[in-house]
Amino acid sequence: MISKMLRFLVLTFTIMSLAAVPVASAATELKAYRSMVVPTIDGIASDGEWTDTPSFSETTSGASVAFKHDEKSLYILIVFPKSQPSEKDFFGIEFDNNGDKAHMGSGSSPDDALFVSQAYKPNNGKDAFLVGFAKQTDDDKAGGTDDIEARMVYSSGNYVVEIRRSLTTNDSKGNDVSLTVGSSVGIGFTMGEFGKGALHAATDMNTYTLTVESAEYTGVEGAKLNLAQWAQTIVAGVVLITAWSITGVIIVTRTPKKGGS
Amino acid sequence: MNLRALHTITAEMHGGMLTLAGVCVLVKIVAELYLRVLGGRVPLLDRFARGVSRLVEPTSYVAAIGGSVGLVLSSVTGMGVWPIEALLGSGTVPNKIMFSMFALNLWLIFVAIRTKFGESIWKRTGLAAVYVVVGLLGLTFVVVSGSLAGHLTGKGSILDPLYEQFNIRVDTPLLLESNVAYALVVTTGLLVIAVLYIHSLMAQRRESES
Repeated sequence: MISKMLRFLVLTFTIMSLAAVPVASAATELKAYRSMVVPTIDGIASDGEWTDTPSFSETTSGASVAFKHDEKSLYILIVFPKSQPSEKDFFGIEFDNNGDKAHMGSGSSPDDALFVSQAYKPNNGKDAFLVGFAKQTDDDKAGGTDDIEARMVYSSGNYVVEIRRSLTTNDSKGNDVSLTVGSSVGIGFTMGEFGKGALHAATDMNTYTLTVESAEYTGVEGAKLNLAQWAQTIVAGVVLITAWSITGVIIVTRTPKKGGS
Repeated sequence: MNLRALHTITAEMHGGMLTLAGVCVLVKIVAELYLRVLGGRVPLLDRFARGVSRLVEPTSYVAAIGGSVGLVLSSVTGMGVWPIEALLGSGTVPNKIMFSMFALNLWLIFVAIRTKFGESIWKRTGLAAVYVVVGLLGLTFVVVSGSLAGHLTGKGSILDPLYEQFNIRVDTPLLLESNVAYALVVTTGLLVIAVLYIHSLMAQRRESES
């Protein structure tokens, strides 16, 4: 009997271990493009604020996520639906700064994280790190600094979240991931409701990477150009330059000298 | 043929040549001003200024021709390198194209003036002033266009502090409203006609007085 149970436990453990082995697959690369349009962190995605970077539809959380940077700060836009909003709703981002491609970190090697919720006031964001499952430690409570600014606004069935975080914070006590132009880090997303324990959606930590791009975004999802208006502007400029240049030449070459013949 | 490599060559070529043309114009102004204001005091400096002036004048002309040709070639190769999506999806690309066109416009006028009037431009102060203004405006647009190219390649630009100072967003298309563009063209046309008419009246009066 004991032998059977032992064999069952060994078999179960082996199957679970195999299931836990991560399947080698390429992570989806999300890009934070360089931008000169600094968004106002007010939880409102205003016209032109986020049209210069692509947004990504994240299937696990159902959120639309966009990143960009201005070489100093990382800006994040998250829009996710919620039919029955609660003040305890939250959205979290985890950075795999220890590179283990696993959720959470450990006491010796924590993962950097940031959380946004309307439960946090007046700043709706918290700079934190994770030392184990559901073990969120706020940076400022561990001798570090809270380096994020965030607003989370509920409007028409969606939460709109805008976040600003310095690319490099130098907050070692807060275990902040240091992002530099050209660097890449594993990233995960989670959303749920505080107080409901494990009832939340979360992506695997080997699903996405975030790369801080040096270039600006030039893809089709950027700001749409009004071609007709653009052409009119060019024509107006060319007419202005040509007309005044020729006029200048005519005036200076056709002016008879005083007293001359 | 690698179109991207060709675009890089033509872009570097027109950037370098037009900058050389602009710098030559600046050097020519300094040399001419020196000779007219301070000339005759230090013979060695006079000779140096005359020599420099003689060299930079044709250099600016040749460099302007080469740069204009390079700019046209760069535009053609650029169309092959940059997809239409880049034009529609970015503010920086249309701004760069627009400033390049303004630069080309000015440099072609610069070349046309020099071709028509030759070196005698410098003997007529008014004409020299128009010639210099056209060249320096052309240089300005080349510099701004090059700065936008820096943004597109992610390198940034030394003009960025200036953009920040004046709150200019280079990645937002700098567009005129349609009615403003039309008004600008019509107003320019009317003003040019008025200015030329007044000028011809004044010229006639001056001729009759003399």
